[in-house]
Amino acid sequence: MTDIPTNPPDPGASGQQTSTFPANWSPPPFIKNPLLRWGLLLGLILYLFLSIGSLDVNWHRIYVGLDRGAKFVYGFMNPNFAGRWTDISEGMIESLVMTVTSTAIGIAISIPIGFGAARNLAPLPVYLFCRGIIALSRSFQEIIVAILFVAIFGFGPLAGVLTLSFATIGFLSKLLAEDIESIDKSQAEAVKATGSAWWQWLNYGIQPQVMPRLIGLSLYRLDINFRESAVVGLVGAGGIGATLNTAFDRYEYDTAAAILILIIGIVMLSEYISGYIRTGVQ
Amino acid sequence: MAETLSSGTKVWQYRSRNKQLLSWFIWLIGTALFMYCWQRVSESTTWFFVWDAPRIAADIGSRMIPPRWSYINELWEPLWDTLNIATIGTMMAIVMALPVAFLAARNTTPSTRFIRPLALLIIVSSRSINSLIWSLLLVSIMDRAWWQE
Amino acid sequence: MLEIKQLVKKYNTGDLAINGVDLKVKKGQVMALIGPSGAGKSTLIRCVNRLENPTSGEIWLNGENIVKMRSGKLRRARRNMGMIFQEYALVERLTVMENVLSGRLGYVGFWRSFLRKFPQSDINAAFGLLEKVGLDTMVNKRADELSGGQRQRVGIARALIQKPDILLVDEPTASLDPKTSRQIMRLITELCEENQLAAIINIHDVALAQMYAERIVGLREGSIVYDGPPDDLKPDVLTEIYGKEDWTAVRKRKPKKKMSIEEDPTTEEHMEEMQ
Repeated sequence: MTDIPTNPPDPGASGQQTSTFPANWSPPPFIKNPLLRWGLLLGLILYLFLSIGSLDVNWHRIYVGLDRGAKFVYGFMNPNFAGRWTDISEGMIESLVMTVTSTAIGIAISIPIGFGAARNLAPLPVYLFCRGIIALSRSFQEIIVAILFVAIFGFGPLAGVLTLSFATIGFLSKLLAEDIESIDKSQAEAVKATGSAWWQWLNYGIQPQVMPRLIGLSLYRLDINFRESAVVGLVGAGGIGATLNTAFDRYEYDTAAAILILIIGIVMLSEYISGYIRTGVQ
Repeated sequence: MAETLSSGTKVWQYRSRNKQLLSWFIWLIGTALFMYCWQRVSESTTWFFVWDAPRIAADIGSRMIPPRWSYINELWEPLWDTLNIATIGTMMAIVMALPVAFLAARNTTPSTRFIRPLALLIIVSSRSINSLIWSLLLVSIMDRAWWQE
Repeated sequence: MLEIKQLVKKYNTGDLAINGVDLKVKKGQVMALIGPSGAGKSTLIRCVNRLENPTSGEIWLNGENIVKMRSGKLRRARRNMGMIFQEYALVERLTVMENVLSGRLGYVGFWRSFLRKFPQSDINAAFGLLEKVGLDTMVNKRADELSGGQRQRVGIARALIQKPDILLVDEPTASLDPKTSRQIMRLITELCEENQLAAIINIHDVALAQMYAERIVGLREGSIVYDGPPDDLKPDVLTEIYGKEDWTAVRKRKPKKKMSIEEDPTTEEHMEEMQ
């Protein structure tokens, strides 16, 4: 076979101009402006230098603490369920109870707010109001909200339930609103063209399209709320968190490991069940 | 669910009777569960504090406004620390997470029998335990409380 | 029965979609609307049941002006107009039966429709229509399990169960193969004749329009340029509607010129010569 020419063949009689191709090629840089590119790179290196420098690791402390770390790993190997079983079971049940309550309340509140935050359904003032609530709910970490609610409502699981319900709004309403905004318009339009009232239009045109995702998201949120409920106890809002904190404080790592293993087990179980339900709903 | 009655008219139901019963049953169980859980939450709550809540909230609110901006001088270092926690933490996370992800995906894992379940276990453990709990553990190992040096 | 007076539709971007259209449709008359893309055919149909809002003009249906109607009266007017969509517009996750029954939403209250407890007369009508369009074996199948032609037939049943006075049909055959297109057009025109329904059928296939409609209206850039029987649709009329084109052309096969070995780069001999 002849070699592949590096120059294009001369078209000859047509008299067009020939051009030579460049000898090699490399992909164009991600950031076109070289000043910006190098500037960003230098800035990044400078930042990394400063931040890692500020880490101030006390290696001696870590060496001493490694001893405790080993105790923890050892505790994980033989978790102690029996020793503090009453505390553990009470805490776990309280966490589960908080999860169910807060998810139910959260879903009930999130659905109207989610519908109100969908631009294609809601008038502008309602839309802005609902989006404001969602932004508020998402800005604050659950622990911070829990601290505030404990201060207002007192210690106990109620503060935790209110915290998690509030957090659910930010999650569920936002995703629901996004799903509503991306529905197939022609399906809803066809229902409108039959002369249906607004509620019927929601029920036949919008709901069938968003229902599967709503169910999936609710199950996911159930899982998230359980994991969060294990933590809000640290600030006094009820659940297994308080028991866990006590175990850590007393260096009872075997009990702590038992609690952690239980949490992981319940999360795995819920993941399995929710996957099953979700395929059923599809 | 279409059936033809003896009179010859065809009827149609949205759900068959069994499915309808199942649906009602599930709602019943769900409601009962919720009522039970609410009962337990209510028992552990000091309702006196709850009724007092608006007053306390108003009190806290009034003390929050106006914010004490002069406090910002004590906040610069924690802010810097927070930023570093986020960035360095994310970098370390990416280094650890990418290999685990590839090991856990069904189509890229080298061994579906041993390595994949292990990777999935790592993922589930990391997900299930809230980062606050990990920090409890690490603080108790490194014992670095803010009042100590 | 339907009278459109000086309808104008102008979009916010300044595009003039409909430029002063006057149209009258009699009871039971099947009218085809043809014209190039962007002529305003879809916009015109969608203005009639207010899926688009006209900028100015009047649309009179049975003695009432649709353009001025507010929600309650508009819904009652919409009940009287059955619409068939180009991409079928069925609610995918609902069954065939629910889709057909959704045509009666304008007539039943919210709770009945929510619990799916429609009156028996509606159920009978649904079964009758499904049998007529040939889908009585698929009553409980989900809409997304059907083929294109089947979905369009469900759409037709949904429009007809409203017992409307007029059918608004928006490109019913655009996504269908030639045989299914003819079946659908035949079905629509037969049903219109049976029930004495007027119909405005927006269609881009001129041949189909000529075959099945009794009156053809040609639209170009928002104005009517032709209004008459299908037989009068001569090539010069088509040129006026669509623009210059060889309307009688038929595909001719040009004989392949035999190239010599040097010229034809794909023969094996040429390849060997190059080695």
